[in-house]
Amino acid sequence: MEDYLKDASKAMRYIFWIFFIAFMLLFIHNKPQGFNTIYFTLAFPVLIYIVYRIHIKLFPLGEIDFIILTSFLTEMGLIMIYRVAPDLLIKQIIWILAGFFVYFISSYVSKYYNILYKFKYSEILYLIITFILILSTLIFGREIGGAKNWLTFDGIYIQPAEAAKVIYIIFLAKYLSVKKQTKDIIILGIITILIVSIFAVEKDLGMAFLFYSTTLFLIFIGTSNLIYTSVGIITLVFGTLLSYFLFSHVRIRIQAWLNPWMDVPGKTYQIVQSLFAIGSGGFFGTGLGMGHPEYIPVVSTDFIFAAISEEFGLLGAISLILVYFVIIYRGTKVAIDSKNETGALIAIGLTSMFALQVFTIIGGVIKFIPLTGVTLPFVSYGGSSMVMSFVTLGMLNGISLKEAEDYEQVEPEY
Amino acid sequence: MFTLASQILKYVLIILIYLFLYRVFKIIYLDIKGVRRERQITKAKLEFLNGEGTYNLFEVTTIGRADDCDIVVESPYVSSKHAIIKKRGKNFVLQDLNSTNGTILNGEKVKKISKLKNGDIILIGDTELKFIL
Repeated sequence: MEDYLKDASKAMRYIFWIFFIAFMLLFIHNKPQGFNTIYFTLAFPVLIYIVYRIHIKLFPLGEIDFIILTSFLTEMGLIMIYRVAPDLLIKQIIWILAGFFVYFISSYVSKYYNILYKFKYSEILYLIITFILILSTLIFGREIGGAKNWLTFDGIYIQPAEAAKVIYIIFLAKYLSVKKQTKDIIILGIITILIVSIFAVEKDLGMAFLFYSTTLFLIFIGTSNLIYTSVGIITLVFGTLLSYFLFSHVRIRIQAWLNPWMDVPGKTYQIVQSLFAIGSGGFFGTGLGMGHPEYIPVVSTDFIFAAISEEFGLLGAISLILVYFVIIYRGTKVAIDSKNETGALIAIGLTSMFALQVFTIIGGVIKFIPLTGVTLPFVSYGGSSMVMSFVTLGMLNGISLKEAEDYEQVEPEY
Repeated sequence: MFTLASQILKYVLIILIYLFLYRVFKIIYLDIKGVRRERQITKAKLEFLNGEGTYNLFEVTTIGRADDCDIVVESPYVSSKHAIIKKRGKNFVLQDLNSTNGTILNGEKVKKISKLKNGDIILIGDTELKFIL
């Protein structure tokens, strides 16, 4: 235990050094207006240090890795956001503060995740909430950047689909741990196709893909049945082909993926700029402030990975992917260690949703798969995504804590 | 001036990022090793005084009536998960797991955690065990 904390505090020390050097450079480069920016910037290392200490105190058996890794990811995000859009820095720091706060709350809540299923029709309730959240944008939503997936309240923009992800997994885990018959799986398939088609109408292809493939993953893990899984994969391929012919926005995305050079100033502008940025980065990057990430569209949210590849180079980008791998590894381990099937399914569902989101956006930006707009968790600018990513990790931490404590205090039996 | 600083510091940043990753992977390594170490056999032994035999202790050994305990004591006075013996550094410690009849070490009830030494007599339910280091 002691060696473990020694390494953890050393890792935190490196985070502080990276922060110090990067922001010294950026302050010279950006010449901040007013002292507010500087105060908020200095608040960030204090914040992560306090969170690190509190986490050790409150959860000595918890997943301290999550705090270290998210500190690193949010820090890389802050550096890049301050580089490309200095106005958003303060807001992002406030979102990170809110994120750490909900991390602790969801750790405590999911430690007693059985409460979530105490009501009589709780599963159906969660399913209905999911549908309400998804449908709300279709009716009251506002179209930003091609997809109708935003709600606005007095200038605050929220993305309900982010919250729907977690609630849908809470439903799915309970459903699959109880119902495993063919008929139940068919009902689940119909529900999933409904959700996916709502997203398709909203033109939110990233979310549609995430919900579909997470359900598929969970059906495979919950039932270990290869027939359901292969039917699911065939439906995915068939659905993609169908939507290619039905929807023009799907066609554009796939054409831009197959041949990005066909219409550089128009349809394929985003992906081509992203590829140029990644290419000009090279191994060690151009150095902070020396590249041109301002040419990439929507660089502070969807394309932040391209900007990081440009200024930190291939090595920086790989380090980011490795950090995501470690988070996914820890999440999978929580699921494996969990003795309760519902707990294990929640854990693996959250982890696979997280993993697929990272894969979708990084794969899209580097033109490995067709581009769809989802955010890079913890790095991209955006409140909904930041807060819900912290909820995801908080719940994983809670489930792992429950297992650790069950082991320590065994109930007397006779 | 800024160009030069940025050019030099980008290497420093990459080195720092990879030092950070080294520490993260070391934590993971220690974690995996820690799990494996739990099942390692130590030199310490536990002898049944009623002649049922002598068992080697693991780094973490559970004692109780349940089948998944490392040392199974068949007796109605023993709880299903009764006590646990862990290795802490060079010493072994005995911990009672909220058992109904309690664990008694050399005539004294174990409240939370007690250190074990060679020749200690542990009474679990109605079964006496001798700790041999």
